[in-house]
Amino acid sequence: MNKEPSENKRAQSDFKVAIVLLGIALFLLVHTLTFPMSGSYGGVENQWFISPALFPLMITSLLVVCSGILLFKACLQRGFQQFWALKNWIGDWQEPRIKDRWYIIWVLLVMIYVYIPSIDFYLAAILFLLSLTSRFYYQTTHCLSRFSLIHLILSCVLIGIKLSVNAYEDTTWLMVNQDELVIYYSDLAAALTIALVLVLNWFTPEQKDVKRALIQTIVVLVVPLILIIIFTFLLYVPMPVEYGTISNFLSYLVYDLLAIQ
Amino acid sequence: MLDQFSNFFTILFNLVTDPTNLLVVFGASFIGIIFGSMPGLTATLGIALLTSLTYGFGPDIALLALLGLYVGAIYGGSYPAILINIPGTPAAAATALDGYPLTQKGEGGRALGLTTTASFIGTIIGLLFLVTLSPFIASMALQFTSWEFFLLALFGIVISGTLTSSDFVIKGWIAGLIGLFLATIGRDSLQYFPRYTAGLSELDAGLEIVPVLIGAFGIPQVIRVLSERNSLANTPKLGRILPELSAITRNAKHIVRSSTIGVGVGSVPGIGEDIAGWVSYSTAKNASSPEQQKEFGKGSETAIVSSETANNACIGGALIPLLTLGIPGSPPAAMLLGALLLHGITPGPSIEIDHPDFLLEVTAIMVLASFAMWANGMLLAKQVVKLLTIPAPLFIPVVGILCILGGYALGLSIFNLYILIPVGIASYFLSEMKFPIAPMVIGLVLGGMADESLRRALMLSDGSFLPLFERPVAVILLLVICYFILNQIPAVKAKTKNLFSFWQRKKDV
Repeated sequence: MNKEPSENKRAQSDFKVAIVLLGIALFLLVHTLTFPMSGSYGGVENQWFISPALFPLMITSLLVVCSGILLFKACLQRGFQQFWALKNWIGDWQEPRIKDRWYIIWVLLVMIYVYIPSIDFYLAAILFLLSLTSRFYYQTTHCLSRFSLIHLILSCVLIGIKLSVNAYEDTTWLMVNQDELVIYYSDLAAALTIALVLVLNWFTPEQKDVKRALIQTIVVLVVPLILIIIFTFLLYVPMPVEYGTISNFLSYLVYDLLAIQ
Repeated sequence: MLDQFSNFFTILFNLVTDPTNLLVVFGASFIGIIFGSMPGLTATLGIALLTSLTYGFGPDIALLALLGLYVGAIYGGSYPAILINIPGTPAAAATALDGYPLTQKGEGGRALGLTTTASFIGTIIGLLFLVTLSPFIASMALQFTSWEFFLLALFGIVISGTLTSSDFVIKGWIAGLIGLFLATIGRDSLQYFPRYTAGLSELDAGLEIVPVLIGAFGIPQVIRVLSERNSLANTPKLGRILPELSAITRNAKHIVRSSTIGVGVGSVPGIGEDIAGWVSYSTAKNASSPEQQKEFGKGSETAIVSSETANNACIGGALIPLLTLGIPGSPPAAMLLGALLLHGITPGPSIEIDHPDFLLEVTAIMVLASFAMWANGMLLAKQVVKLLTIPAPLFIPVVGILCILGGYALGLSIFNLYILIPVGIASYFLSEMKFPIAPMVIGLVLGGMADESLRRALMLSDGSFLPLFERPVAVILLLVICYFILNQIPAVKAKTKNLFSFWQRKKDV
């Protein structure tokens, strides 16, 4: 497969990115004009040359100019063709690479914005590894919709638990869970999901490679545990969600049972 | 001079006599070789991840680990390049052209021996340049005023944007401008005015450099390697790995030339070891006899030695502007700058005043790291080769977890992750559209300096730009910047080309 896009495709992608950059740069330029250019701010009498707007104005103006040049060049090469086509923005959905790309981005987003603030890091890491290894270690594409759906349902459940059970009134779904009960229910939901995915991996009819399944299971269960032990107990980096089920267990194991200080 | 030598050997002796130091540098070098040799992992990513692991240690141990890994990773990229024709790092791409044909001839062990010794010599020669040129540049830079620093930052962006763009130079400049813009986020240093913070107190101090760098380099790599589904070939059997000293002696002149190229390329902001490897490869080919030229691409030892010497000499070159001016010479050096800042070391002209003997300490560490790399290469190459059989879909997701943990661990802020991921995804899409990432990183690193220097200079001159033209270095920098910008206009480009060819003809006559 030829990975280098043709001149026309390149011009289309340049046109697209130039439009987006130009829009953002113009917005930032207008916003920057609201910064103090004269008068007094924080006890300092402003002159144009010490204004906090000076450098950002230079940057955003140059961004506008450069994006404009890129847009002009793309226009000359007829890059505006198929501008409104969805395929031009998200890529050709028939290509496995495009599906893979969006799957990885989806998993990364769910991991950072939903799992990490909600559940024990160990469980979040297992879910992350399991999702990626299940798709790429087996070289399969059929699990895309299955895993995406599982992540979507779990995300809704975790956000739902956080917003409904949490005692704080100003809770948003991006906030880190502090309430032990919320963490407990969230961990439980995540653990059940992991069990479900593992069962699916082991017992689906298309799954013939037992050795691979075993290696994958060991990697996804053991590697995060090793990393967490290194970061928590050697580098003294607490995991994002404290009072998590595994976090509590590891603290008990290391500090109480093994009495390591 | 003698004092300097005496100091250097004292520092080196102190380093060598402490078993902890030896353990750290040998371990880091070995990890570096693994990072370099695993396709998908790079030296920059290795430094990014190790930065978070060394956060809790003192600067000495952290430097040992980071520089050990840097040297090891640049060298390690040659393993898969030679054995399976897949460069482990972009720096080893030129090595693959002749290393792999040698492996096909059953001489993989010999090729690895050549790269190990050539990389060692390249690193040491790069260090010689570092230790001799740095004090001179640093003392010169001490005379710089805010104008020079502002123009140096611009120079870094323009030159890295120009040289790293693969299709259209404007893309490199846009990437640099995005980096400069990212650097302006947060409260400004003069008036404490919040810029682009959207009312979020977490953004008041600006974007943390290391998580942004992890996002810019690590996340695109995770997405790219997994989505391209590259499966590795089986690694062939290796023969004995020997230092190949006779081949090195035969290629002495190529080694000297390649080292100089490596240092020169490395010292230019933003362009790194990969360019050094390619430039040195083509120069060696042009400088070789017609018989030797025929061997290029078929397993030429000259080609391997040239590219490997240059890419490792580039490390010393990249450290020259980093340590003396605070401008990283390559993407791994940019990451190293982030790590140094985390450990309270601010590279720049005053480094020798703030941290006396720092340059000598870095040189001593690099010498130790070079020996560690050489020893690891000679003794543990076969073990590293075994690791090449680990499938990328198993270790790349683990790298993803390490990126996340690394971004979070620095500052224990989950907000860092909320920044890291969008930066990573944006960097991925930008690089897919042929926007180079190095200028963006350089812009992020230099943006603060550029902003402060410009305003300070204008404040001192009461808003006048005239003092800029009274300073020779500033005028030279301005002219170079203008040349690089104007040279993109086809008419100007043609004129300068004519001018150079006229000058060349006159010289020939």
